[in-house]
Amino acid sequence: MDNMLQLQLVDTTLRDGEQAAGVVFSAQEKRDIALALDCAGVRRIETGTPAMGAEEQEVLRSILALPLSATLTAWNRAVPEDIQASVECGFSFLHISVPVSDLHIIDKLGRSREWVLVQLKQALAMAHSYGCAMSVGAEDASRADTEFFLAVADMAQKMGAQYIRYADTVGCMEPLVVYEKLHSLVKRSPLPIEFHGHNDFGLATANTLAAVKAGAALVSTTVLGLGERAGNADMEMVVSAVERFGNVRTGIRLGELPALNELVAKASTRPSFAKLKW
Amino acid sequence: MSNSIQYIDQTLGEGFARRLPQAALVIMAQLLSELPITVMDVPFEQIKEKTDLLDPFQHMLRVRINSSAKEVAAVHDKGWTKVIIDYYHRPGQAIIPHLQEALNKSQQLAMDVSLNLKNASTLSIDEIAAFFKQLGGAALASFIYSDSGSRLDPFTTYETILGMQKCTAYPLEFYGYNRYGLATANALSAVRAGAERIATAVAGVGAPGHAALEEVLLSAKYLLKRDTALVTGLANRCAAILTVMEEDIAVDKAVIGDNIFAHESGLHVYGIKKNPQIYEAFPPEVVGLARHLVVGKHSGATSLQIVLQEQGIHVNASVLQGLLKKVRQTVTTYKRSLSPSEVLNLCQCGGV
Repeated sequence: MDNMLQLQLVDTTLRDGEQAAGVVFSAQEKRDIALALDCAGVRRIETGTPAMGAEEQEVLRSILALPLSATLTAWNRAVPEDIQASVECGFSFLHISVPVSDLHIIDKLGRSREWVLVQLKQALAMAHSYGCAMSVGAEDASRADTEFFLAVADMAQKMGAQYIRYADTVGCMEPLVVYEKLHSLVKRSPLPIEFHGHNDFGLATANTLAAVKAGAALVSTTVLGLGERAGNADMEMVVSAVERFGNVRTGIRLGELPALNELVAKASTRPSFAKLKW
Repeated sequence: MSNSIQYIDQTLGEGFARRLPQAALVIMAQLLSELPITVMDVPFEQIKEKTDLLDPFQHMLRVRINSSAKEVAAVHDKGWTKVIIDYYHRPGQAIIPHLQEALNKSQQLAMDVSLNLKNASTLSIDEIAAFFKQLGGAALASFIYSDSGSRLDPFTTYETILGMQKCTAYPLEFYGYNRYGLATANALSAVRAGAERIATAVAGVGAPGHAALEEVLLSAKYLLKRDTALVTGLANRCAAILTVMEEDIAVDKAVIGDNIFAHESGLHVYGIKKNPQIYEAFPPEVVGLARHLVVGKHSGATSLQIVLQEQGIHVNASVLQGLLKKVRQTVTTYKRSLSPSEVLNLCQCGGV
């Protein structure tokens, strides 16, 4: 038991989960979910996006005021307004996300890779100047050039980020490929890697397991796999799979998960979570 | 190597296991027969009194029995030609005489027999090789490697299926199960390792569940780049089958859920309008679903503007900001996204 590695879960139910179309959590529900996540043993909670506005910031402040032992992180684009909003909201751990595939950089934003690196550098410098701890998110990493992902990781490391998120944004990987790519990246990246999987082909749990076997130190999950489109990697399924097949411990208290699942199912007003029965 | 994967259906068998009414089973068989599947496995115990009912689908049915010559003969008497013999093997022991008799009988009756080693994943490749030796070259249409206890992950599946192919020339089928949410991934690994026949069920239905047909189909096409013939309206066809089984599909069920092409967050809507590939793994038409843009809590000014423009409404930036605020307040009250008419209503109340 003791030589097993500790895997860190980054729960993003309150951020990526709430971004599922039609899902709106109330302030009270968000606080209840944060408390239940903490109680279940989640050590990192991606709490939300302060840049969304004053009302959201008020809710986020009330979560920051809760007696939680988890680290609460705020999601940011690499722009000064977002960093400013997160700092003013009271966050001391900032997740700063940049697109890394040409599809996202060029087709979506009409920018260049160089522009991404400059934006990221400035955003990290700003967050650092406020004394914040930081992580970096590489959006659409699974469709990006590996060398550019590593360039972003290098920049992130130089500017003081603690880890980098490899996002399979549209869930377009299968586990053998995840293993191959991540195995090589884990060796070459100057920062620990967080794997962030989506479930578009029903492979989010398997892909997350593959990333863990390849050496990812952190993984993103949401309760019930709630998230955009077909959702994210499901916390309970990931914990069961990685503890069974991945030779890691997560520190998650499985006994707490039924209550947490029920809380999120109710708050997301999704009448049917039938997939759970199978 | 041929590019065509054969899908072996477990959905109808699940319908029988649940003792659904006969009428429901016939509808299921009809709907399933229109999907890209090769055969449907059904349990003899439950099907034996229903011969006529499923006659139109007889060519697709494969009847599951235990290892006895008597059952083989009974299946033959009913006019079925394809049979699966379920078998548990104890390593180090001789195969039971019943199995040999059942195999002899099916050979004698010229039946198409598949042997399902239910506890295959508890055995080593060497133990399975020793088992094959005992079979003495019995003529099998296929050998079924079952992972009944969900003991395999995608990596051990890959290694095992590679190993299996070295130890037998029988056509190999892979039956994975979903206790750990890995069934679809394991099926893909089996395909990558060379297994061409894969057990699936619509939405993976069953306890503890199978690989989901729709997920394996789409993954084979888009991730493994295999030639994959899809039917039109896959999502609706799957939904119809599940309706007969009185099962709901989660709105976010991969490949066939109602919401999987709903886009709400500002950044996503913005990306989707520029190029859908930015936030979609495959186009909705492929499975007969439609993309829809949703106005909700995470809508941004640009995405709201895009949705309004689709309704033929043009507003300036300051109006848009005001409207966005009202949208956020309204969705927080209703706890859901807004319909286009509700958004129009908010516009009109604001005097746009």
